[in-house]
This record gives sequence, C-alpha cells and structure tokens, in this order.
Amino acid sequence: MQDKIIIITGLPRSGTSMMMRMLKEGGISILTDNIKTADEDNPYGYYEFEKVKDIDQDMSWLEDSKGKAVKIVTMLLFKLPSYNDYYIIFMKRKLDEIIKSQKIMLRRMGKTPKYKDEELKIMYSKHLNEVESWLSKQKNCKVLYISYNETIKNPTKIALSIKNFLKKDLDIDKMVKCVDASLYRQQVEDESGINISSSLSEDERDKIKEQLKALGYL
Amino acid sequence: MFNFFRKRSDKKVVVIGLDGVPYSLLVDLINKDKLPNMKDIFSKGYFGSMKVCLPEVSSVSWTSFMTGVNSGTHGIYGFMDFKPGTYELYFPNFRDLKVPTLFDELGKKGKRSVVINLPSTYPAREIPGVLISGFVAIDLEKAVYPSTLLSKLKEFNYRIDIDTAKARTDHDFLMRDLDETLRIREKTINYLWKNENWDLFMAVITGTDRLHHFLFDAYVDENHAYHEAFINYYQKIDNFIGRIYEKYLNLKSKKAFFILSDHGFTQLKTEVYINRWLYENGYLKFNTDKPQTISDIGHGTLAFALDPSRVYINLKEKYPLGTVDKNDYVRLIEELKQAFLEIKYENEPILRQVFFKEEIYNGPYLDYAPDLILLSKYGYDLKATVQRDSVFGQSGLKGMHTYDNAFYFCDNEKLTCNTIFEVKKRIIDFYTL
Repeated sequence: MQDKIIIITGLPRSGTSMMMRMLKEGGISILTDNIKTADEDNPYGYYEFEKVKDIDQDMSWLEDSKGKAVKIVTMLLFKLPSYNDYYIIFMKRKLDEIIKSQKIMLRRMGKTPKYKDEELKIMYSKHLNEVESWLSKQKNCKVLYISYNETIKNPTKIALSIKNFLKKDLDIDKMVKCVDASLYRQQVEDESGINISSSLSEDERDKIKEQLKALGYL
Repeated sequence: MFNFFRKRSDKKVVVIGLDGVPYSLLVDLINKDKLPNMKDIFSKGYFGSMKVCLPEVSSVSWTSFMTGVNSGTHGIYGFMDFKPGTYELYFPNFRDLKVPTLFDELGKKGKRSVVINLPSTYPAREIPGVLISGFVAIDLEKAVYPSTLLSKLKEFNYRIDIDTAKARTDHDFLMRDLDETLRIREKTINYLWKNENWDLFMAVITGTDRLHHFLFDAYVDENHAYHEAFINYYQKIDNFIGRIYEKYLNLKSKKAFFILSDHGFTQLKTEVYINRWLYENGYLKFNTDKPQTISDIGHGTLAFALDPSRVYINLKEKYPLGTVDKNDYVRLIEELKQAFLEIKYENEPILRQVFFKEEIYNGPYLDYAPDLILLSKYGYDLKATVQRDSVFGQSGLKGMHTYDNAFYFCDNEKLTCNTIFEVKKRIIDFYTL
C-alpha cells in the first residue's frame, strides 16, 4: 500500500472534497497545497493540489504522493502514467444534483453556465462512460465507486468499505464525523423549490413537504 | 441483564407534552368540568400560561424547550430555512441542531432519558437512553434509537403521526386516526415505562395540534357538528394524563411531573400573505409572472418573507440578487416595521409587534436570523406563500398558533416558568435541588 497512490476523483461537486477530508481524518496523508481556501461552497476546504492541473508538463509530484491521497478530476485520469499503481475512489452523484450545485457555485462567482442543463447532462454522461470504460481496462488501477448520497445517509458503511478497499486501519469514527449533513444538502430543486438537508432521502423530502402543506406551511 | 445492577436513581422526572394546547382552552374546559384529571393534577402545583419562541412553530419551540436557548444559539429558525447565501430552501433537522439537548446534558450526569414523539428530533441519533422522533419524522427506521426497539414498535403498529393530508378534509377520519394514534402511543409509553431504566421520561401528544389546525372552530362553536367530538378527544387526553399521573404517583423515588405545550392556538380569522403584501408594495419582485416559490425572486427585490412570519432584507453581500446596501439596512427595516404595523384587515391592524432580529435572538447563528419577525394579533395567520393574488385569504384551516398562550405545569410549585426557554433549567434544577 505504501507505494500506491490514492486518487480521489469525480466530477466537480460530486463530493471529492468531502472524501478527502474523510481520508485525512481517517489517518491517510493527503497531498494538498491549500492554495484554494475554504468558502461557502466548501466550508471545510477543497484539499486540492494545483500541480495536478499541469500533469501533462510535470509529473514529478507523483513520486511524493505515494502512500497519500490526492484529488484529480476525472478529465485528468487519462494522463496518469502507467508505471504507478493507483487506488481510485470514484465519487458518484446524481447528475441533476451536480449540475445544480455547479450552477450555484457559478452564480456565487458571478458567472453564468455555458451550457443548458440537458446539454451538460448528456456531456457528463458520455464522459463518465468513457472514463469508467477506460478505467476498467487499466491493470494498474483498482477502483472503488462511492455514492455521495449513500455517504450522507450511511457514512459508517461507506467508511468501512473504504477501509476494506485500502486495506488500511482507518479511524472510522472520525471519518463518519466529517459527514456534516447540514452542509451537504441535495441540490435538486423540485416544483416546490425545496432543497432538503441531505440526511433525508428524496422520498422523505416529498413526504415531509406533504405533511407541512397539510398543516398550512409551504 | 446489567440494568438490574444499575444503581436506582433517587430522582425521576416525567414530562408530558401536549402540542399546541392553549392555556385558555384548558382553563375553560376545566371550569366546565370536562377535564377532571387535569383539574385535580393542576391544583397541586404551579399551573400557568407560558410564552414561547418566535416564530411560534413546533420545530423551533420544541427545540427551544430541549436546549433552553433561542434560535440564534441553537440554529433552528423554522420548519424550512434558506440555504446560506441563496434563495433555496432546505429542511433543518435534528442533525442541524448546534447545541446539546437536555437529554445529552442529563446523560453527562449519568441520567438516562426515554423520549417519545418529541418533534424536531428526526432523524434520531444516539442519546443516553431511548429516542423515538416526532414530527416531521417520516421513516420509522430512521426515527428510533436504539434500533433494537424497532421490532417492538412495528409489532405495536406504531405511528409517528396521523395521516394529516387525509385528515384535513375528512374529519370523521381525523377523529378515528387521532384515537388510534393516541392508543398506540399510550401502548408504547406503557411498554417503555415498564421495560426501560430511566431517570427522565418524556412523551408528546401531537394529535391536539392536528385537531386544532383542522377543527378549532368546533371548539369555539358549540353548535358545530364536531363540537362534541372535539370535547370527547380532550376527555380522552385527560384520561390518558390521569393514567400516566397514577403511574407517576406509584414511583418510589423523589419525582417531578411536568406538562407543557409548545405554543397555544386560537381561531383563525384570515390568513395574511406577507410576500403578496411585499410584492404589492414594491419590495418584492419576481422573475416570472406566475411565481411558484420564493426561489423565483427577481431583480430589484428589497425584502422577502418565509413562513410563517420571517422577513429578510435582500442585502447585497448576503444574497445572489442582493439589492440593499448595508448603509440602507437600518432605514429599510424601520420603514418596513412601520409599514407592517399599518396593515389593516377590516380597519383593524393585524400585527401586535414587529421585532428586529437582535431584539429576540442572540448567539453565533444570529446572521442566519430573519431581519424582521412579525407577531400578529389573534386571528391573523401569517403565511409566506407566493402563489396568492391577494393579501388576505383562506385555505380551509381553522386554527392558528399563538405565542403567549401555551401552558406549563409542574407539581413542584417552586419550579415556576414563564417562557419555554426556562423549562430545561427547571428540569435540571430538580435533579440538583
């Protein structure tokens, strides 16, 4: 395990920062430069490493990342050299939620999305299929797919699955405490405009809305 | 097995919550000899009216009860709230509570609590004892701690709540469902009373709140078709209280008995749609001709509202479409306060008071507070729906919450209480007396 590189990947806003924090609290060293600091979208920080973006020009940092976790977006996975072994934790989240979360982030930055939601959804789906298909063929990559929503609902179960995957003795309690459901809210807005705290399933949200409506709220 | 060896507590507390029961209603029915058990019990301690929190809704009020602090400290301002920096709503739940509860604090003193149907405790989490979440719990499997209790609750056919959607329009069903839910609740209470070691035992009846929302006029009008059914339900509650009190009297330890509500109720005269008023008076704009939710807010908005009585200033540095400069904040809230106080229905002002947030909240979460909080006169039910085309209207509900007409009782007359924020301290005080 010491010579393997742990990669946290996923589309932007799929829970990669949360997973980095979980691993850090669980006892895994992480590779980050803290250049991108915490903000409203990620109050606990991004845990990014700027040099990842220039992986085409400079891969020297990969040597330092052995035995550590580093965040790499899916688009850059194809650039990983084949002479290393990688444990990849791939964060999956509903595309509607990802797109919504990205729009909120862009709005806070004063920007507008370049593509319509449906266009983005098709592009992301196609991209994810390509990445996953490519990964399945890489003998030097072991991949664990983690559902962001399941992590919110059952953090203990997810933390244990990561422990088994990495074969490392992790502090499960500390990992679970990282899952702050009050911050990781589902971003899918339904017809009544309610985004409910992520510790609730979509079915629960619908039922809660019905109950509140019956009593004159909403 | 090891519970047998556990040191028996020398003090026990029983707390019964009657959601939405007004002090004035109890006094009225007691005076009419409709509630003999409560008449007897309330004569043996301190019984009085109690003010609660603002807004006077169960999620905030029960949270204030179990934490002893206001929303600026515990972080819960309503059934729904704005995600910080956005116009998007989310549903704050038990995991969002920012401070420990009464049960956590008693746990640190080695006390074990059994808590049944307390609103605002969903999803359930570990407490020192047993917790069955109340409103708005949805999934029983997420509403119970420890999970080993689930099988027994399923055996009882335990219900978290009545079917409110059906009960709203089918009042025969409402009365049947209230009865059945009360019966199962009492069965669960009896089981846990007997089979759990506890130092504090709390159970909340929420059927009273449902009855009031849908049929408060049946209490007021003696000729109403459901007047007798309304009184009968209260008599069942009275009998239930009587049975619990009898079990309480048989406890061998030093003990204290508390009964309280989380807000009062009164008959609804008209609903008042605050966002409609803001729109008609130029403070609120929408980005569509037919807004569906507050998220349809548009450019140029100065202020907007959230259920039931919360008003927010659309500050530039706070919201994506923020319009108001911080230098204009004070002028605007003063202007709005005066304007709100002048709103009239049939020539009568509808509001008693308008509070600025600093007047009623304090704590690290003050920034998340509404900027203005409206307190209406009895009969004027404030709402924040954006789907109305007039300021006043009806939705079919018959009762509305009140802020200063909740009730509190303790059989120790020294443990008096004027506000819901004090109850937690009274309970803890009892253990240290």
